[in-house]
Amino acid sequence: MTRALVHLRRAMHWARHAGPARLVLVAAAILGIVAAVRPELLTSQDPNAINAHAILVGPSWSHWLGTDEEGSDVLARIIYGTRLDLLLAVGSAGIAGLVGFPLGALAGYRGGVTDYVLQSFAISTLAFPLILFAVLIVASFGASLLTLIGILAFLFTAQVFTVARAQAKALREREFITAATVSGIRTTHLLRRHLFPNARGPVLVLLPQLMATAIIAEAGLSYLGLGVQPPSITWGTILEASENYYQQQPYYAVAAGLVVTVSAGLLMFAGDVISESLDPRRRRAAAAWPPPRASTAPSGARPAPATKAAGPPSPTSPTRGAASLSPVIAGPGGEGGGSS
Amino acid sequence: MARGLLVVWWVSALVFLALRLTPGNPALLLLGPEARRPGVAHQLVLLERQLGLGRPIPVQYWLWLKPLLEGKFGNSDLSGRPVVSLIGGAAPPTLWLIGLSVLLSVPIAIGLGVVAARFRSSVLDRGVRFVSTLGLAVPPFWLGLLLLLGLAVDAAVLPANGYVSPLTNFGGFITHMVMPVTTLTLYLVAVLTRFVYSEVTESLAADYVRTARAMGLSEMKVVFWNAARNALIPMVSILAASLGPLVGGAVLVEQVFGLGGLGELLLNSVVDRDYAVVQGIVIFLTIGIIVLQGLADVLYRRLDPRVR
Repeated sequence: MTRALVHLRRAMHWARHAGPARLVLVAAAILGIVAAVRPELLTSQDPNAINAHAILVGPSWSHWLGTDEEGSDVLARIIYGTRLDLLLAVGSAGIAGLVGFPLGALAGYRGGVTDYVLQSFAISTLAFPLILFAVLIVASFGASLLTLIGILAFLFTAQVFTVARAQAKALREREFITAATVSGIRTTHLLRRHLFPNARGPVLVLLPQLMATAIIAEAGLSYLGLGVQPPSITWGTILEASENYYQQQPYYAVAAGLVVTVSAGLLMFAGDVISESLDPRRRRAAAAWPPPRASTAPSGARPAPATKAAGPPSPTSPTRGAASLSPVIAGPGGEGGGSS
Repeated sequence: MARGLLVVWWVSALVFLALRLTPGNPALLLLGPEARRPGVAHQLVLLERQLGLGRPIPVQYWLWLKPLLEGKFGNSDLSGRPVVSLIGGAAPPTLWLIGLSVLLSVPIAIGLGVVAARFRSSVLDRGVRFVSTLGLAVPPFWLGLLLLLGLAVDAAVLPANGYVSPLTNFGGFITHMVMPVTTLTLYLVAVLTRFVYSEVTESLAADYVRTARAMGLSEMKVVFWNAARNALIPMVSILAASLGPLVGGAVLVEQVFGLGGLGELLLNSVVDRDYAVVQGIVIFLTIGIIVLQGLADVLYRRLDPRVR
């Protein structure tokens, strides 16, 4: 009970110091998760209800965003569509992070032939236009959520790999890594304690951006008829279905597109906010957009709580202390090392 | 050179695996539902032998790769026409769309990015940043549909779809390209502006810019000559890196506006299970991108003495 109270007080403390940008992001994340896990809490309508008497009607009290070509409530469909979109975004970006990050950090740290070969593969994978690659895979494997997650995870892994590798490569030359190497600690320990915590910053910035890409890509593939097939609901399938009704019922089509745009925009914005809060000196704040400053405080220094609060929660404070000895280098955020 | 070989091998292996690791018999897939008919059975056997389906995977891979290396992309399974000529016929609208968008968006992005960086944390800056983040978040084809609705359907200012070759009717070419190019340009401007902004902000804080200001150079000269010039060299790499998304965006956008380019050919081939064409287009575009990225790398090295 007291633990819960402590957490609550911490959360309230965070909320007071977070600033509007972070509050909006957290609110949106909570809304998204609720919509994905318990969509029935947000709407009482059945997303698949067919109603021949209310086809393509405009917004009303019973249908806030109107109805679609089968008389189903558009808002309910959007809410129920969140689940698969979120699963796709989190799944693909998560796999990419879990595979790409250790692989990239290790390759960058070790160097040598393996690094060279892996980097070549990553470069050529990134040369594949996402849509073309997806078309190729879907053409032979068929369209399903798993196929989509696989396609995106594969391409995203190459991206995470490139970023993590560049970061580890830069870290390798730093004194604290040399010192750790010379001190004779085990390599796994060196990686876990010194290399990974310092290399992860740019990857944490990249992950929400990849999630945004996943959502936009899903919409695009659905538009081409290569996405998740009905009766599964995703934002992409809603957008595709709405294509023919722009004139009859603009709310329908505009709402479907706006949901994708706003979600992707918020995710990209989240990447910027993370990038800002990870950079203690904010010297390279230019590497990604700094979010608009709401307070009149000078942009030079910001009180500690904001930086601490937005970072990943660290239950083990001793590790945190050790890690903070080694400074985090903020690399060029989302650009992902285009040159090689 | 070694890297080039690795890249070609990886790309070809990916395409091969994507087309061959299908659940079920690839020969059945290639022949489509017709294959089950009694009269077609011998064709199936023939195709299986031709693809080497009974043999080990590496042998199959080699059998698949060899004609490609010799430049033989085969014929369309559907129309029997050579894949190369099909691609050649469909390429112009796509290439025009991409080329014009790049030409337009580079100066726009430089202008917006430099202005936003110079007047940092002003309304102008915030506006540019907001629009640019928005531009990345909007699905390009949806934006295209909105444009279509506004300009072609209701107002009927511009033709809604189709493509006219610039050689036959230049005016028609322009009017048909306005909306697709605008759609793709908005996306590319968003990508590039973000980049220009961050580079110019960084170089505006550099010592040589302070020196230039101290020497009494005009602000215009400092910003555009000293700060922006250095910051813009890496633009070459960024453009090269955005080629992939650009081609993907072009496929979607041309679908919206019915330009009938490579995207349409690709999608129709997927629907018709015309694998020779699908494979040809994917290889053609990917190799094109890799070659352009290699050229960009060389160009970058020549432009920037620091990388040499």
